[in-house]
Amino acid sequence: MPPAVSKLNRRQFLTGLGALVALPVFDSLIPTSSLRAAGLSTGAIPSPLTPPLRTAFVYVPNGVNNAHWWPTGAGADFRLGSSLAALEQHKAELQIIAGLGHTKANGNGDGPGDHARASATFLTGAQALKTSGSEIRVGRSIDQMIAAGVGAGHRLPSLELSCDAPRLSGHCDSGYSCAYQHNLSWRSESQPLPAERNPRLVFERMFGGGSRRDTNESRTVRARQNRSILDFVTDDTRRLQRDLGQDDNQKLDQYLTALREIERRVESFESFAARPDAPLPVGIPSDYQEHMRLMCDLMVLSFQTRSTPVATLMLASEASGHTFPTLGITEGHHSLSHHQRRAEKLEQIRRIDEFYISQFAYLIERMKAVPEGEGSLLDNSLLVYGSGIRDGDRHDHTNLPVILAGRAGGAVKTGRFMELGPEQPMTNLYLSMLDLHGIKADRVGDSTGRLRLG
Amino acid sequence: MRIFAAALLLAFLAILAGACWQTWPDWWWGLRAPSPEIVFERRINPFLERTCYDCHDQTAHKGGFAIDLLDLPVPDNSSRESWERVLTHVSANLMPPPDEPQPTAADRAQFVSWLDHTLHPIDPRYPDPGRVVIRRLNRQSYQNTIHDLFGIDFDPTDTFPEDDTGYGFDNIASVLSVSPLLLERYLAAAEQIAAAVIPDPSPPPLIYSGAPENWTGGDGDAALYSTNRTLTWTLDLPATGKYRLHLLVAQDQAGNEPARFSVGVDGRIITKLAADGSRRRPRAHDLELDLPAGTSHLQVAFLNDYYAEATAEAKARDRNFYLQNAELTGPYSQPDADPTRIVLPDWVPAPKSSETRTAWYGRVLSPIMRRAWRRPPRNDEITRLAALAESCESAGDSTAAALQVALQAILTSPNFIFLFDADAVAETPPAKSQPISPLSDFALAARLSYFLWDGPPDDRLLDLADEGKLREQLPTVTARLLADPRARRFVNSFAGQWLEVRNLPLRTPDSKLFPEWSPELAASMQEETLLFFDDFLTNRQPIERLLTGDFTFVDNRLAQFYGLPGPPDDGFERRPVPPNRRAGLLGQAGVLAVTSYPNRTSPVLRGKFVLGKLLGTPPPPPPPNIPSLAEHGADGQPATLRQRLELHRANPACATCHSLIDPLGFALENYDAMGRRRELENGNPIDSRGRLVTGETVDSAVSLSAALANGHRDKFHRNFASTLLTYALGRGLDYYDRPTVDKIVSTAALHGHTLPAYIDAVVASIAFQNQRAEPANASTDKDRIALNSTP
Repeated sequence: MPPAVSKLNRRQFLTGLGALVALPVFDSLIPTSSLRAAGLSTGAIPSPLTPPLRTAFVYVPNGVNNAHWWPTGAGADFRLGSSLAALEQHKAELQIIAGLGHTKANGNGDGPGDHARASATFLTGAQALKTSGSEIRVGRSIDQMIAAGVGAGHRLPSLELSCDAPRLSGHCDSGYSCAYQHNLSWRSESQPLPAERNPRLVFERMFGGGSRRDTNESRTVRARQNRSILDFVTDDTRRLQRDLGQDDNQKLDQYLTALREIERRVESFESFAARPDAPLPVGIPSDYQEHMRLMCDLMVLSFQTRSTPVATLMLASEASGHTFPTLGITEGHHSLSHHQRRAEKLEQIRRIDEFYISQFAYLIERMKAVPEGEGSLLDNSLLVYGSGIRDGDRHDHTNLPVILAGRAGGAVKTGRFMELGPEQPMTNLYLSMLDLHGIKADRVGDSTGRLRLG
Repeated sequence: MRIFAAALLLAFLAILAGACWQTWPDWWWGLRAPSPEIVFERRINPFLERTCYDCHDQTAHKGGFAIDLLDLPVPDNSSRESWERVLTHVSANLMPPPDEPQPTAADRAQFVSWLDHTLHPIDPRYPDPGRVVIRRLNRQSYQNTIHDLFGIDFDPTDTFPEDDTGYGFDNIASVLSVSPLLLERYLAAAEQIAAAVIPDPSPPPLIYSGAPENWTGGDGDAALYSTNRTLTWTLDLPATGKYRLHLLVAQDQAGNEPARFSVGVDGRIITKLAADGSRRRPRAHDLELDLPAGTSHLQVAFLNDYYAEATAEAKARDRNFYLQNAELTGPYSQPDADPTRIVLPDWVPAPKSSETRTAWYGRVLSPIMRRAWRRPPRNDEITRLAALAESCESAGDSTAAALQVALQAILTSPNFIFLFDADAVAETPPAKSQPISPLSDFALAARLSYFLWDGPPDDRLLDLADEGKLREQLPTVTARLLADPRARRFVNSFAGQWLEVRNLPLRTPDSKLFPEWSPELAASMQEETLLFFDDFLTNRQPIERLLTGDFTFVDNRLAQFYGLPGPPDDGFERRPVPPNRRAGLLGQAGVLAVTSYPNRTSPVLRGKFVLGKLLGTPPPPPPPNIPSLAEHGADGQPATLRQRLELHRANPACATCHSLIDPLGFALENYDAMGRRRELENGNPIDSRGRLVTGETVDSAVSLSAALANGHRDKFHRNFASTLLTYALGRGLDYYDRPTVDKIVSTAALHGHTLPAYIDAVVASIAFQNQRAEPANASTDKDRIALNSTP
């Protein structure tokens, strides 16, 4: 009698993905348009043999326990802090940077609200306009600059993911709109891009619904109908735009931009990547770690199938009050982060840091397991992991905990702990990342120069 | 003569500039205030010198804040924010700090009044209704709207991205943005809704999709066939006809043949097949079946199990069969069925022989457009949409499919997604002399229905707007809307967010400390508070009874929790609360739980809730680098939370705010983090006594609530009016809304301060019925300041 096997569930979806992830990328999995784009973006001859650079940003809230987080030593000769133990086996793939900061996340006359500013500034390097609701404004985020530069030709120019708990109603941080705390990606200075929490919907965005009725024939009909609908709606929006006021027009601009993007997708509806033959992931897992790992799997899948060049993943939104019953931590993360230097609170923070780092280690492991070209998917990627706050008790935005992983196709040096002399804006890192993508820019947010990553 | 007149005027000005000048009515400031320079030099600068500059001039600039560096005397926009902070801090007695010399109350009031008027010039002759930017439906409004329009339940919770919030609510126009992701979901939702509203005869509906978890005959694991066995799936089919079965199967190959399986109906095997897919790459099989209407049994059996214990290689030892997914679609129409036959809902009128297809489509679609867009569609809009439907038909779509596409276009149009005033659209911007433009009747109808129903106007409302009678019948209409069951949505959305009980289902109290907590209990707590608020729609009580009400609503679960007699059945019943134990909102478990941490109460959070949510005077947020709360008292014994907070308050830097906040929270310490009554904490008796900064002594939720409802009634009323107006308009309030809020409170006072009186007053307000005619910008304010500064 054969041994019992658990029934088809999320785990098997994971195994299914793992299986797929272990396969080399077949040309058939990659939509031709994205190959084209990959070639165009680097100016190279389009060839599946020169894999494009893929970039991800992973955010953790509330700062860290710095005493256990930072490496000792310097350069290539460094030892990881105890909170980063899970990364030990990936040390050669890492670059830990000390001395990056976000001065625009400081009050600068706006008073309290460091949590809201930390997340709003993290990818934008811009000062969030202090408002509870009228005129939200911060700046364009680095992932969206990458998306604008190399996103065309991908199924999704960018992918925004979140494992945050459902949002609470009420007020957010100190007179800042909740939009600042819940969004990392800003398409324009006033348009945040909400992240997807539901793994199943992420999967469907990349590969379609996978229903039997989703045949090529039905897709053709659908594409035609959607084109007509979009034409009609675009026309409606333009008519309104002619007549409404300035502020209204800003909203309608967002609508038009969104319409154009969907239109582009409808035009190239064949650009769905080949759907992995695995059951659809179910909705949002109740276990937090499973949720995060599933999102990591999906991010890897999106990179592997070249569905997108850039992704953001918010493990939890800024000032998150997550509790961690599986770690025996029942006080909320944010409340703990105001540790007031009390040992037992700092210890819990350390364990939370460890927990989040182990999710990042999982992502790295998954990306390493995907062979690509001469190396792995990780070799052709650059992951940025970090928090917009250094220490939750101080709400400071200098010398932020930041880890890079991946070699960006060889352009980035790894296996070292880089301590910047004088503090530099985090956006200097971002500007250098734009260079890696071959995107021309003079600055990102408040950047003052470039960081030498190679 | 002239000299005499001038002297008189001077004397008059001197009197005005004297002790009583700060009491000038608002209108006076719009007319002939002395130049701000004069007021500043004579009254204000000396105050700043005396009171502020020791710490906040450019030499000292404590906290990086130097007042003399701000633009004076008339603040421009760059200094405005900083001046606003000065205003907040000085008016809330937070500055100067308590350990510094204090100005007299009169000097403080004079300074506050000057700064307030300078920053916020209000001219009641030209009330400013503000301007609400074009407002997108949030998830809940979208769901309600679809329900009210089509009678179907569409739940966007899991598919639409979450809405951003501002000012404590999720219906704030300026923060509700549109992303490509959301638009993608709008399109998908519209497709799903259109398919449900206008069922398409072809292609046939999907009857079942998913893994065979509910099939009978399995031994606990339906997907895996580890032995030869049969799983049975009971079908209940709508009609006799051809159905298409799509199976996704896989196998573990072992032995010398692939796994074989059979598909049968009611015991009759239809076909036997080999499963040649692997678990990594399952294989699809499509079958066509003739099935009768009613009950049938579909059977899928594994036929050739194989297990060779002796085989060395594990993989070759065991043959298994997997059924991973099954989909059944149908019935497919019979070949002899009339292809032109259209199955359409009965509300679709039949085509007339005389009319073109386009005209017919227009006739079918325009009533839907009117309801979905909350206004009559214009002719060109009808023509464009009808042309869209017609073009689908020409391209080969069925009539139903064409109508579906048209409906999708209606539901994806900004005319559906956004609330705005369509009639204002066509007009040119009005002249400056008319800064107010009334909302069109249709826009007003929508503003009203989304306020009180969180949903679209019904036909009666639209008809009234059409006849131009809405404004004259507003009080009657408001009463009708409030009497409708849909008004409960207002309670859920407004009170659920204002009092934060909407968050109860998301709370995760420490399960070791609070094993009694359950999702069901949280839901009951939420319902209690909402029912309590709902009662004020009809009970004719003044709203301060929200604080002191001696009744509540319980179901059996809550009755047990509170120790009250439970209702005889499953529902909620009104119960008096035990006197001197609980009262009003602050005695309700849900409110007490949402203002706690997962593992303990927080007098600070509760105090902040009272100050911010109930009185509208939120304390400033804490500074970073807060000194630690000592864990033990002076005697080395573990202290109660209160004792620890009191030590903390001994620090003057903390005392400023905490003497304001803490006593409010201490009074509620007799309720634990899930709202349960308690007498001890850490074995120590709870001390709930406290003195409010305003002097009242309180010692319980009951006496605190009474103190708030008596001594702080005006603040509570004003705050309620502001909060309600914010929700009703979908925008944050600004200084120019003060007269509107004043008017709402004074109007409600004439009707006993009841909840309906506040709602009526909001609906009657200038801000609700009008909007600023020109696009929102600062030019009006600047102009007014410039006027004032002209000598």
